[in-house]
Amino acid sequence: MAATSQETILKKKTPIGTIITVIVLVIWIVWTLSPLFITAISSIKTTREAFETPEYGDWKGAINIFRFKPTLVHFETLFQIEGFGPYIWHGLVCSLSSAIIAVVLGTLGAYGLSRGKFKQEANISFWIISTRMAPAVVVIVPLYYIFRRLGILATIPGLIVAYTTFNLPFSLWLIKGFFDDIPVEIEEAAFVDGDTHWDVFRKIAVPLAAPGIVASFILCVLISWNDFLFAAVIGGHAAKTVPVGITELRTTVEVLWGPINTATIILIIPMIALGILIRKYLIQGLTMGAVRE
Amino acid sequence: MAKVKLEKVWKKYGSVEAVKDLSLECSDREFLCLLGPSGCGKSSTLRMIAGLEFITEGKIYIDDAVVNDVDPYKRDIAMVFESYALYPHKKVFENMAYPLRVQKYPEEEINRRVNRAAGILDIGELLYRWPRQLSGGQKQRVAIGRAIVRDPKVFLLDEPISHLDAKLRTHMRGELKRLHRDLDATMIYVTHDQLEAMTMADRIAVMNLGVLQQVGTPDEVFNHPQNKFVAGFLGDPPMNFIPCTLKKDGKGYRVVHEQFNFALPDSVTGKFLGKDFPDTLDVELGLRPESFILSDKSTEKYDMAGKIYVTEPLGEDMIIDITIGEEKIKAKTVIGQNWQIDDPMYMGVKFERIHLFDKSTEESLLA
Repeated sequence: MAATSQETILKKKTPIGTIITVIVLVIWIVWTLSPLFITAISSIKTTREAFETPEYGDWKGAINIFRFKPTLVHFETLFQIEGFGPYIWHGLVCSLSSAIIAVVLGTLGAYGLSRGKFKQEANISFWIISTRMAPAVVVIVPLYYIFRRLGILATIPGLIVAYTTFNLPFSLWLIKGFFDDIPVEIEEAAFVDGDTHWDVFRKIAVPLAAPGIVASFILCVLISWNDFLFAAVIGGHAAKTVPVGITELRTTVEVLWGPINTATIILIIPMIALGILIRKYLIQGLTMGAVRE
Repeated sequence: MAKVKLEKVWKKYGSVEAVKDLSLECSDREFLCLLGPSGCGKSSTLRMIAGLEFITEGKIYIDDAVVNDVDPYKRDIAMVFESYALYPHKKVFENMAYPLRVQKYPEEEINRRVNRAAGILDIGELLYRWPRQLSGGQKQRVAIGRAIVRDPKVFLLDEPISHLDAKLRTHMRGELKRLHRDLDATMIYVTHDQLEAMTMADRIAVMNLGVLQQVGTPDEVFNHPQNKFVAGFLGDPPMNFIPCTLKKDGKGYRVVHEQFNFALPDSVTGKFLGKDFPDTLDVELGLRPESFILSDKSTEKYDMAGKIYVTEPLGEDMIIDITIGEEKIKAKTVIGQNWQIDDPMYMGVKFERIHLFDKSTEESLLA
C-alpha cells in the first residue's frame, strides 16, 4: 500500500518539481552537514591550520580547507593533559545503565498499562507522560535537593537515577504504543495453547514489540549520552560526562578549539554508529505506533 | 475428549448483561453450535468456557470438574479465533508446534504431529512460510492445524470461517464436519450463520440478547421452533410472519385475517386443544417460503389470495414476493411457470408445516 502510493506521487511529479526537491535537499544537506564536516576536519588539523580561512571573496582559497597535514595532537591533549578518558567512561556507564533500567522497567510497566484493567488507568498513563512534559530545568532544583539529602549527588549511581527519571516515562510510553498494537487474540491464543501469563509476555508480547523496545533503548542511550544539564548539576566531578568536559575546555586563559572539535567528534561518532546499525528498527519504532500497516 | 456443562451462567460487563442464566450441556464427541445474531452472547459464552473471561455467576464444568477459577492453560482446550490469531513472528511450522513446545513434547513427536495435521489440512507446502505470506483460507487452516496438533478435551471455534469468501466457506463447512468425525472430538462452534449451524451441528443452541432460546438438533430447531425468534432466525429466505387472529369455530379453530381466513385441520388444533385455550387469541401465523402450494387459478382449493410483487429466479428455484393486502410474503417454488409481476396468485397452505406464535409472548402454540 505505502509503496504504491509513493510510486504514484513520484510519477505525478513534473521535472520542475523534481529539480526543486533536489535543490532543497542539497541546501538542507549542506546546512546540516557542513558544521559537522568542519568540526571533523578541524579535529585533525593544528589550531593554526584550522583558523587559516581564505580572504573574503577569495573562492579559490576555499580549497585551502583541504590543504593540511593530519595530526593527532588534539587527541593527545584531550586524553593526556585534559584527562578525557574517564568522562567517556562515565557517559557510557550512565547512559547504558539508565537505558537498560528504563527499558526493562518500561517494558513491564507498558505491558501492565496496555493490557491490565484497573481503575484510573488513563489517568495513571497521563500522569506518567506528564512527568516528561515539563522542561528538565523545572525539576533540576528539587532533584538536586533530594539527591543531596540521599547522598547520591555527584556519584555515578546518582546520575543513572537522574537519567532514569526522564528515560523511564519516555520508554514506557513508546513501548506501550507497541503493546497496544498487538491484537489481544494473539495473546489469548497463547493462553489457550498452554502458556502462563509470564510466558505469554516473554514469548509473544515482547518479541512482537521488539522494534519498539530496541528503538526506545537507543533513544534513551542517545538522550542521556548527549545530556548536559543533569550531568552538570547532578553528576558533579565524580560523574563528569563528555558534554560537561567540553565546556571546561573553555578556560580562563584560552579556548582550546582543537580539543573541543576532537571531543565533539568523540561525542558524535558512537551515536552515528548506533543509528546506522539499528536504523531499520528506529524508523519502524518511531512510525509503527502511529501508522497502520 | 470430554463433555462441557454450563450451569446458570451469567456474564455481566458493568450493567450490561451479555449472558443471562445460561444452562447448557455439550456431550462427549458432540458438535454443538452456538447460533445467534451479533451481540447475543455466544462469543462471551465461548470465551468463558475457554477461560478468557471471568464468569460473573454460575458454574462451568469440563468433564466433572468446575473450571470457573482454572486458568486457560490448565483447561486443556484448543481454540480457533475469528481473526485466526497466528503468531506473526513464527513460521507456520512453529505456529502449529507451539502448543506442543509449551508442553515440552520431544522433537520427533512434534515433527510427527505437525506433519500429520498439515497432511489432514493439506498445508504441507506452507510449513516454512510466514503467516503474513498466507491467504485468508490458508491462515484459517493453519489456525485449525494449531488446534488439532494436540488432543485437547474440547475444541472451541469462534466464527472460524466467517471471513472466507463464499465458495471457500462452503468447502470448509464440509471439511470441518469431516474433521470433527475423524478427530472424534467435542467441538463447540460459534457462528451467526444459520446455514453453517444447520449443515454442521449435531445440536444447535440458538441465543438472542444473552438468553438461550432453544437447543435441539437442526431438524428440531428448524421444524419445531419454540418461539418466533428461532423460527425467524433459521431458514433463508426467512419465515413469513402474518399477524392474524385465532378464533374458536364450533369444535375447531379458524385463522382469521382481513384478506383471508381458513379452518385449521385437526392435525394442527390437536396440538393445542389440551391447553387452557381462549376463544380468540392474537397470533403470528408463521409460514416458511416452502410451505405454500402456489397456483395462478382460483378454481383450485386455496387458503389465501394475493398478487405477485416481484419474482427472483435462482436458477432452479424461484422466490416469488407476493402481496396479500398490506402484507408482503416470500414463497419458494421451482422455476418453470410463466409468473409475471402483478399476476394474481392463489396459495394453499401445507398444514403440516404451519407455525403459530402467541403474539404477546412470541412462544409457539404448537411446539
